Amino acid sequence: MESLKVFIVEDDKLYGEMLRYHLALNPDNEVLLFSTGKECIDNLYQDPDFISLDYSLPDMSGLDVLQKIHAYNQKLPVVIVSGQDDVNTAVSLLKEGAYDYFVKDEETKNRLWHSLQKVQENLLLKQEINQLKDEVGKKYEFRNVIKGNSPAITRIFDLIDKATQTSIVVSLLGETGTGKDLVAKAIHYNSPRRTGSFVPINVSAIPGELIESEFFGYEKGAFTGANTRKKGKFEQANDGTIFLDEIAEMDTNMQTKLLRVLQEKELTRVGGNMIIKFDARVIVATNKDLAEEVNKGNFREDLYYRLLGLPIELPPLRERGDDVLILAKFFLGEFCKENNMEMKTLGSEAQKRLMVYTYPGNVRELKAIIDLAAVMSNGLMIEESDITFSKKNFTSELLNNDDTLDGYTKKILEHYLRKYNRNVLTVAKRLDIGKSTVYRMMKENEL
Amino acid sequence: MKGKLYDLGQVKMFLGDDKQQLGNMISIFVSETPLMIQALNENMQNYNLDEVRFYAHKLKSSIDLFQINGLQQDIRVLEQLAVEKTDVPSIQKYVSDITDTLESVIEEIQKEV
Repeated sequence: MESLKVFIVEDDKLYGEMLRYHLALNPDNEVLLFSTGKECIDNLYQDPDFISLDYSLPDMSGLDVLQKIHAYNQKLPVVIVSGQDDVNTAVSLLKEGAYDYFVKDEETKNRLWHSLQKVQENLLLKQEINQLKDEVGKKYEFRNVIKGNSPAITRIFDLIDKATQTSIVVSLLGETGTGKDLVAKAIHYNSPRRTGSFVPINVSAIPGELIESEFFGYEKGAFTGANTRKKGKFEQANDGTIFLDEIAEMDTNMQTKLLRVLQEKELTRVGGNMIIKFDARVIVATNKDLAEEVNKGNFREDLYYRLLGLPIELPPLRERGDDVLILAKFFLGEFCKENNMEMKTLGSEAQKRLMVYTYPGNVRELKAIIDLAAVMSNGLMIEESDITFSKKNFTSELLNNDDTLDGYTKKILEHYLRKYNRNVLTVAKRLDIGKSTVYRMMKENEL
Repeated sequence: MKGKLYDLGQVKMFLGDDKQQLGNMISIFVSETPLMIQALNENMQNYNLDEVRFYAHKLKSSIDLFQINGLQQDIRVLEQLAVEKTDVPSIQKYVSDITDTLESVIEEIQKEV
């Protein structure tokens, strides 16, 4: 651990020198003595780790100095050392954020020593946490998270790189299973905010009546069962990133509240009055077309623009060409490692079979297919027969729910348009109908 | 024979066996205390009792460190009287007595060291 820089602010030269001498007994401490509040404030650029502050200084009160120190660095531990045993002063200083309050007596040096030790221990813990976060960050480096080198995914790498440079809101769009949550983590752990927390919330998983208290926290007694004060997800994500997954599922009442919070960058806990500032980067994700939801009146237009930020549309696996095989080999290797199996390979016929499937469940589905194939295969090579696709295919899905003929027609058209990337000529050929008929049906069904 | 006016036990407890630092502390006491006494008296002459309180407060830790016989209580009384600002004659008396004692202490220390 690097040395601790300690400021002693004490206008009594004798007492200040005593404290300086005592704290400097630890060679890890670099102790600087200042005799006025102004001198201390002017030297804050040196980034001290700990300040011992005399309450009664000739140029400023201890409270004024404390406030100025905390305006510079809110988290800097400041111990007030006072010649006066005044409980009211002590309480008000502690409320103002003082780390501790000591009265000058024969025990002061020991108390100060212990405080400094505590600060040192906390700094060590923080360093350890940061090291662990760095390790997690490495795990989420783009290339470790998102495999592939297709043009579609290379473009996504560029966008993620841009997203990490600033705190712009990022909206992740794409079908289910395309890896939106992994991209959100990759952005967080590769951005300057990686030392803060990554706080994910699945909006659709929180009951409507709980969402406000989950997001913004609550005060003790705010409602039945609120036995203690609780910080909300936005506060937890301060200095870090909050990831709002399935944002399109948020009800309009909550959308209004979220908009205000995002605009003002401040919130109020449920049942509380205190305004709390926060600084969290926001990433949202949805597999719905948010613009369409705005048109339908399900999503607020002003919130849509607030959240749009940098849109990153993750391509479906069927549009990623050879990435299917890169991912399949990666998943196979991971599965064998995790299960202490001898390393298996993908046979050429199995590879061909994987390449013709359309993967409605995207990367998540591919992983499930590979895991199963690894289990089913008898040798060290995955054969074509080991590859099993989900029974939950388009046909069974289509017929599972009763619909009108027009309804079925729309679904069939939708399926083929998606499958062939809206190439009308190919869709017309596959359905054995004219191109103009496809266009007419698209218009009628607003596709 | 009159006993010593001060006791270095507390300072030594702070510093352990570091004689060089002890000398340094004594020289700070000898050089700084007269300045504080002067400021205390000037403010007393101008009836600036807030400043009298301030310097009494500042002298407190040095008096405690050097365990100056009889002044540990007096300096606290002076500080309180200067806050209350009601009994100016007593304040003047305390300032005068404390000044005399501290000057004697400085003289005594200078002779000894």
